[in-house]
Amino acid sequence: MITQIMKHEWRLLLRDRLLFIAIPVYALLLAYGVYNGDAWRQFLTTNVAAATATADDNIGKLAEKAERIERGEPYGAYEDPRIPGRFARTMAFEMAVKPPGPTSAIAIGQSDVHPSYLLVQWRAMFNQSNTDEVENPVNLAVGRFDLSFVLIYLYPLLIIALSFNMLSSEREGGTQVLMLSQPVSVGQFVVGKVTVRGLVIIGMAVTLSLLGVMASGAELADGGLWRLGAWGLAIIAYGGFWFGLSVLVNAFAGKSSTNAMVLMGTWLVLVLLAPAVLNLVAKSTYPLPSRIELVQAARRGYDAAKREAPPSAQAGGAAAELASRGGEDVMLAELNTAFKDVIPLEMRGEAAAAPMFKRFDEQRDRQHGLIDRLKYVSPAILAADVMGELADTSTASYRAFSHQVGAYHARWRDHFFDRIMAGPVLGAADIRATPRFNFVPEEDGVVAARVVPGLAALLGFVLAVFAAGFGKLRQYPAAAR
Amino acid sequence: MIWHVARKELTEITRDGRFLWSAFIIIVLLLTSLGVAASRYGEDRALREAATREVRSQWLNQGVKGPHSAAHYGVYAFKPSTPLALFDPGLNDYTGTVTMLEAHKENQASYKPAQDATSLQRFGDLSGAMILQLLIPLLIILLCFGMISGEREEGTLRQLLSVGAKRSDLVWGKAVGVAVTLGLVLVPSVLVGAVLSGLIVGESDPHDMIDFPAKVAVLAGGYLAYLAIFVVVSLTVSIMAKSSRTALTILLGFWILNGLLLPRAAADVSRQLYPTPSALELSQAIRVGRDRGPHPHEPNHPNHIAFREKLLATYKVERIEDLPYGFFGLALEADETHGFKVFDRHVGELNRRYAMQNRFQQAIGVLSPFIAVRSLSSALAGTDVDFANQFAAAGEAYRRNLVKVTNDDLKRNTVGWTTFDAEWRYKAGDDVWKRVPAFDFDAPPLGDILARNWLPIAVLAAWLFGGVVALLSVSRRMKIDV
Amino acid sequence: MLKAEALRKDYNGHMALKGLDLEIKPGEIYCLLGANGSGKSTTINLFLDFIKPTSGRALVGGLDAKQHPIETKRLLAYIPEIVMLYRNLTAVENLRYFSGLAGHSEYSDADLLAFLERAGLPGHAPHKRVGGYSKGMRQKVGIAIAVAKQVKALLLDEPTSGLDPKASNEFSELLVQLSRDGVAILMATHDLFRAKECGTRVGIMKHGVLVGDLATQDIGHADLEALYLKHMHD
Repeated sequence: MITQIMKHEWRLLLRDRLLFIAIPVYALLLAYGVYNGDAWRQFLTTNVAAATATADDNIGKLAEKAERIERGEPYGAYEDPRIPGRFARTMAFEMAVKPPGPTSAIAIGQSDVHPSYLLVQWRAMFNQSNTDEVENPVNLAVGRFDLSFVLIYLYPLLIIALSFNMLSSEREGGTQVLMLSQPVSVGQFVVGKVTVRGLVIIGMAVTLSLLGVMASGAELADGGLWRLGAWGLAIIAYGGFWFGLSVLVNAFAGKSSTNAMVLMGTWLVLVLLAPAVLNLVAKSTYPLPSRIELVQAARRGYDAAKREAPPSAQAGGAAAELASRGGEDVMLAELNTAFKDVIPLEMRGEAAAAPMFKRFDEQRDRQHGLIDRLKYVSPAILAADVMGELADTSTASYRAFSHQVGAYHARWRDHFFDRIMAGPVLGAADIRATPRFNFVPEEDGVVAARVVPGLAALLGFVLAVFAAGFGKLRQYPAAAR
Repeated sequence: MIWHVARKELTEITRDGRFLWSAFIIIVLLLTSLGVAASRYGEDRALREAATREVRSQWLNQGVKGPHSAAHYGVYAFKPSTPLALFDPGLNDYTGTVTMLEAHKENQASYKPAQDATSLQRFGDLSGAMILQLLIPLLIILLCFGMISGEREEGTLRQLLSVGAKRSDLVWGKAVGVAVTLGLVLVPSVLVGAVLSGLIVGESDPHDMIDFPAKVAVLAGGYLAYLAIFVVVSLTVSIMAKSSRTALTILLGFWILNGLLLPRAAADVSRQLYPTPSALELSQAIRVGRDRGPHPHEPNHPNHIAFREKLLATYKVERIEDLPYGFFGLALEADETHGFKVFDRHVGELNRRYAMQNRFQQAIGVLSPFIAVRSLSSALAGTDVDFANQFAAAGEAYRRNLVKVTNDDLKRNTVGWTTFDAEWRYKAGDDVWKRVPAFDFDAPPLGDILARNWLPIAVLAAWLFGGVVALLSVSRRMKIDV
Repeated sequence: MLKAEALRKDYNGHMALKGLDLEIKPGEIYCLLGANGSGKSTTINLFLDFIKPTSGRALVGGLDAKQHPIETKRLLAYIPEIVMLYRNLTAVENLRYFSGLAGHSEYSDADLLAFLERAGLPGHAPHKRVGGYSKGMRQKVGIAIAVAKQVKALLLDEPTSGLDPKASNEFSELLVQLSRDGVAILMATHDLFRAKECGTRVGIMKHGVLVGDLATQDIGHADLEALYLKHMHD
């Protein structure tokens, strides 16, 4: 019976001009979204490789320089990579890179405001030079035209356009009485109508985007497969929610224009307003201390440390004495001694500023925690959240990366601290043995733990709207009064 | 006649519960967003002013030290914002807020607030501008889509015209009715919001208040034109469409294209048409360029040697100690001058590309008045790219002066010193630090903003003019029956 | 075949039907007469389970329409005042869809054409989209849908209003043919002439009460009109 209804609905849809305009446009938008996501993924891949190459190249060149100096070629003290303080603090650097995840073409997410690599050397990460990707802020503010944009904003609109009048048009067109005088329940009709439309719209979204993302080189072996599966489920659930909402609205047997307005209004509230309002709530409940305060805290810490123990007190005497004789060897000694002063001083300064940074991090965690709890208000937020997590382009994913970088930075300091304080110069071999950063992708379980609650809530929304819709359909008034 | 029709529309609209509820919600959102933004603006400004004072005093009180070391210590510049930013935060979350101004380095402003936010941020901000740019147009569409087509379907249009009402009077009466209704909702709430945020924000820095009343007036004019466009377009479609349903579909489609699809598509296409280098490529290019400089700290570097030889030849002396200026100061100066050129070439090219991207997007405003009003509004509010670029340029100019002052001091006072001594043993004091003035930044005056944004203004004017002409012509040929 | 037992319908205090008892046997054509709002359509809607009775039962083939909405609909067909069809589909496609819903997916195109021909649809029409059909043609497709469903009972709600006399006459003849095949027909109508011509029994309703019930063969045409007007004046 339902297959009969589906065949019929399919024929009706085929005879409707709307479909012929909407479907190709929709397919085009999906394809464009995939193309954009893929282009971004390729950009990140090359970018990350280039960043690593820069660090490789730099360390290689420094090692060669050290070899030339060891061979006795002339050099300036400022060029000497063998001074451990100088090497670790300014000359050498590592590019800690975050390669795109296996399914990153799904959603560009936050990956365009976060750097894809961080420059690591001795300096505190906060004071490190800015490696933000170059991007026109206008484009950042508007957002990318990626798959997640098409799916979160436009996909519900197409669903609404094709289903807002699935019962009301039959009522208004007068076919409803004949339809309902047949031995079929309203529920069965609705199932048939929703299934046909769902197969077309959700089916296209799932197949086109899955094919696109797979074609873009998603690495299925590295946790790509379950991500794609979960992602397909998220698309189905999010689309299902809007279909369910259409059923519910139609079940009230209002006019087509009323249905359209109610559905558009819901879209507006769930997709545009709720996220903006929640953002405002979270920002004003837990306002972040301004970055200005952090900048100042770091500087105050340093100044205070310097007042306690001025560096020139120790470095001044003996070194200045030697320096008056001039010559590169003296400068070398001078510099090497200076770092023994400067480095602990900087570290004391950082320790003084640390509480402020801690407060910032805690406040940010609180803000994000609040949003994590509030996101269940709107399926659109849930869907965006799930897509970002599955694509590894979420803020949480970046924070995990930045924790790894923090740990690596500590390792960098540990590695060089004793050498700086002890004072012997580095050899070319030591330079080549500089510890390198190795990105470890988050474990599937960790990512899944962030995805599952959102996905479950999304499915809960679907069940709720369909249950309410079919419940309401039981009292569907067949007779036009 | 027009007033008569307008009064009837006004009565009808204000008796509609759905309208009253949406208007109420919009007013609440508007006042909340303005209130929250105002209190945050006040806090940020207080913080910024305190930090600016602190940075200045740190600079002045850094004590006796080498001028170059002072230049390395540097100064922080904090991006200011005008009070209009609390109405239209524009790109504020996506532009850096703090720039470190120091020797050798042309740092870009860092710490985009969006980096600290969650993905929720990317759905957009709730602000006065967002409400006026997206929500009110939707409200206008819902008010207007059935105004003519609905009367036609109900048969009241036939009756009205049989009474002798002129078609154009009828249409303009409806337009005035919608305008008055919206005015009754918006004018008081915007005024209340403005007074409220004025009270919260309090006295502002005069640097941020340049041409403030005139900017507010232009802003109001821009939004008035934008909303009027929606009224005339909606009425035109309502007259032309076969049914109210078609009118609603067309207008919602326009709304989606206008505020959602075209802005993203335009940004995307502009990025592909005028690609920008990656951050890595840019920093590499600058590094490679700077590497060709004289390397003042590395006396054995071939560039350094070449520079020294050339200098000695120019002044016809044998030793750097015999130069009429301190060599270290000269070398640093030459290095910075070389750096300026490299920086100006690469960053200048980047900014030109941004400008072309923005110009392209503004041109797409021909299809989407949203893009036009967004450009104009953020420019007036001082939250656009130009403001950020001007701030960056002011920072760079300040930095160049700072290194010039410190290098000049070295040049003049280390005549006859070795490089080592000049770098490590020469100390300057407060009088040199005082020669560097405090950093300040003026918001661009209205004239500059208008000159840069003639395109969006023209687009808005063209839309409004075209809309009025279209409405006039279709109202003359209005169909009476379904 | 169709049986109303003490059927009552109360719309928020307004009694639309005040305890109707009625039985229509196979082969009978029962014409319900009465002013607008007298309860004729309410009766038909109750048999269709489009609305629920306040009390009493509407039985179709012995089954309560309220308890067995799907089963009873297998037994009956309905033709509304204006048969509205899917305007983008042809008559054949509309017929195939509704027959399929009724459980007759076995019909070939030839069968469907035969039904339409039997219902009197002109030969060129079946493959045209029904968007351009006249009311009479749509009404004929409605009959074809009912015929193809092979039902035991037929419910008609003012099916001939607005039809020209010729179309109306053809329509009545179709009804008579169906009743000869043993279909029980309940028709609400304002057309006294038509009721007398093709009906086997006539019922007159007023304010939800059946005030008259008689066989058409027992009464002349003029007498029926007099009786009707008399009831309306009381």
